[in-house]
Amino acid sequence: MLVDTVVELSRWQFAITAILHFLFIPLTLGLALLLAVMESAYVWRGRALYKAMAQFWGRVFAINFVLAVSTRLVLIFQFGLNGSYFAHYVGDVFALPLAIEALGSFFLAAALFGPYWFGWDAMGKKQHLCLTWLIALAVNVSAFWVLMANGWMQNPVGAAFNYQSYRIELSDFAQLLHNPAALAKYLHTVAASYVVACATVLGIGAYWLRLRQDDALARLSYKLAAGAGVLALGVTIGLGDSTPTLDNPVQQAKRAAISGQPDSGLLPGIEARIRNGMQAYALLEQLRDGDTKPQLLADFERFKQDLGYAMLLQPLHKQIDEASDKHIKLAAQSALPAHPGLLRGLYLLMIGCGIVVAFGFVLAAWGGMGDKAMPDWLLSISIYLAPLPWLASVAGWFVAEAGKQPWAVAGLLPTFWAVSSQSVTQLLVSSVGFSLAYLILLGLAVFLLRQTVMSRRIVNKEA
Amino acid sequence: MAWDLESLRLLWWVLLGMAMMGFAVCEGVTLGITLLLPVLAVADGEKQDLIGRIAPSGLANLAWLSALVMIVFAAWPIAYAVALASFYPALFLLLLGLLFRPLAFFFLEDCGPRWREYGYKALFVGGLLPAALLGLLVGNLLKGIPFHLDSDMHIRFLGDFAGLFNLFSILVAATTLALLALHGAVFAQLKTSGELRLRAKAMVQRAGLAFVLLFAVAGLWITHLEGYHISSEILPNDPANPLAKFVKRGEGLWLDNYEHLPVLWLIPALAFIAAIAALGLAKWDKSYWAMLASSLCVAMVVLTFGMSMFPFLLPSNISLNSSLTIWDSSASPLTLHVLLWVAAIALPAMAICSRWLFGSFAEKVG
Repeated sequence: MLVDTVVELSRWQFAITAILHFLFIPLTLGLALLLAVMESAYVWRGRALYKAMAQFWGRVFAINFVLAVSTRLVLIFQFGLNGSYFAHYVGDVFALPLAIEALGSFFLAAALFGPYWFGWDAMGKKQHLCLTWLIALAVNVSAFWVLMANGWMQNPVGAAFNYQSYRIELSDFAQLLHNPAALAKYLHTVAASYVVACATVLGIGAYWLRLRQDDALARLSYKLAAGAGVLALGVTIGLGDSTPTLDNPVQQAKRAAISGQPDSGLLPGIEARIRNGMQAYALLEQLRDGDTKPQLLADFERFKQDLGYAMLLQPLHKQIDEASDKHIKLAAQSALPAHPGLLRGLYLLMIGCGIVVAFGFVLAAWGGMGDKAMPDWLLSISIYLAPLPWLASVAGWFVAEAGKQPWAVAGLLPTFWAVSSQSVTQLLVSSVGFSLAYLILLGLAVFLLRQTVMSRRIVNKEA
Repeated sequence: MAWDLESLRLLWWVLLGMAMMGFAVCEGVTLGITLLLPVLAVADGEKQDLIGRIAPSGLANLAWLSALVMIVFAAWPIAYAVALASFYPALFLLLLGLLFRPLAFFFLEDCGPRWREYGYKALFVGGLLPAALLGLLVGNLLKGIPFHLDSDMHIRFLGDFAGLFNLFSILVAATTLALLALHGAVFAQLKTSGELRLRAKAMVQRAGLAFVLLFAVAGLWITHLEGYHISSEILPNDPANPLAKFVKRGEGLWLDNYEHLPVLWLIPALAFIAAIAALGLAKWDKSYWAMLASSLCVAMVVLTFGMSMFPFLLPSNISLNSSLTIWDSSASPLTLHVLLWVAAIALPAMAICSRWLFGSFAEKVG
């Protein structure tokens, strides 16, 4: 099998590229809709203030959007670069929603961005508004398909192993679409992204208001963000993320970890699945040797859904079907989250941030009403509030993904089976290279955002 | 379920070809212009002018690349796995080249002169590197890649980065560079004026001649290159399993399809004719028609490559039977079916959208 270093480096590289990509997503997603609302107000009422607002936040959006697209490109290569066995084994199901996204909404959003950016003067007001709404729609639809694929890894439904092609294949597209894990995840994640965007707008608005109370653009942005933020936060908390309540052992283990309860009660069930998987593995060997008696096939059908559990044995004992009881016990133990304390801590951090942000938003919405001057302490709170939803988003994402380990696809494919057989040097060089490039990109983004906020640049002209 | 697996696989091969042509024609303009940036544009204003012509379609062209990659992933999962993992170092460099491009397209205008200089350099590297690497990969696909599939489909790679640099692949890389330089220069001639336009016009002639020559040499070389052929019975309706066939290798086998179906010779012929037509049209300042001709040329070069390889997607040169073909490495019938409708509508729509971006919109800028 593969060297541990290769597995570790591959996982790190994927995590780094994914997290940095994810940094640009929530703001892009949430801001797109706010932009559409602002520009609609401009087209409807014709006030210059609304236009300035749409153009200023348009530039903030653009910086994030452009980086989201370029870091996205790396991510769609990553599944093959570092996870080639994953790509072969579950690509038939996993890639389908992502391909639909790449051919539909992702292309639409990327293609329309050019006209959006350059088209403020070149096209009619209504045409341009149309573009803005289409982009807002497209990024939200994109998120839907991406989370369909992601949710499937948490709760793989509508798919089964095919012994002839030696991989998981799609068996029911409707079931894939109605995956409860994916739907809950989508609503929760998108609502949380809106909170991130609102908090950012609120924070920047408050920063300006602290300098000048009569800043009309800042005041209006502040009000809009506070109102939309309360709404989005209500949805986020109201819906919650029901993924961990699902009834598969991986989610049960995650649930046990974040609620701080001992999870040893799950072990007998997992051990039974490992034994089933070993049966399936032995039968699979016979099937591949050309023996396809109906009885054999029927037996294999009965056990095959647990094939992934037997894979857990591989690092402990090379010959999977000859593993001893001791190995089975160890393998079952390895299927539980390795650092339950960390998961619980981050989960509580997410909840804590959510509660603090909820208070902050209600306060901001109340203070922002009317036209009277706002107290400095409220503005300061609004500024320091801005990073909290971001923290909550990243923590939530980490709990969902790390809580799934050691699985790449819950119950189907362990992460260490999924990676490519690359050389350590190659992985080291590319990991360092990607990290450096991403650091530079991040630096440029911060520089541009700072410059934009300080000088109040609008889309492509000075304000 | 109106289609059988055989037709689905064939249809998907056609869609893959369409995506490759769409990508090459659209992204080819951006790559061509950016790699010519230091040659064509001297003054800062000229560089900005040139960038302004391609920036509106810049992200859409990257989206073509991601559509192409995702089509391979969804419709030929194991081919995606093998291709990306075997070309790892090359693709890593390609991605590094493209990573900074969008930022440069949209924010360079507002930067100071020193940052702008860095930006231009990044754009130049972001054009040259991906263009050369894409050519190198195509050359290596024709040579075959050193991978091997275990009985449980685990993929082993026995190649390294240095192995990509063989003489034939370098020739293909040079051909690609000349082709994209031609394509970019024709676009620059169409969209600019004054000094810049004259320089672009001269570049069209040089790049065009280089391409015609290199393409001819590559064509001659292929007649002596080791090609691949399925020597066992083909079972186009069987579940996807690349290990169920026998493959042989031999000199000139990439020309097999042309011998069986001589009408296919029209495709490479058309590539030559279109290239020469683009040269002539550019010389007589019929820039719009030259652009059509060079787009046709790019599409025909991609098609020539696809036709020569058919039905192979990724031949293996160390374990011939592990080679992936369109018949044995596709996704399941259900996945192919669901995605068929999406792609059949999306690809033409994407082409129309790109045409709009390059045409009516880009002219209003700057």
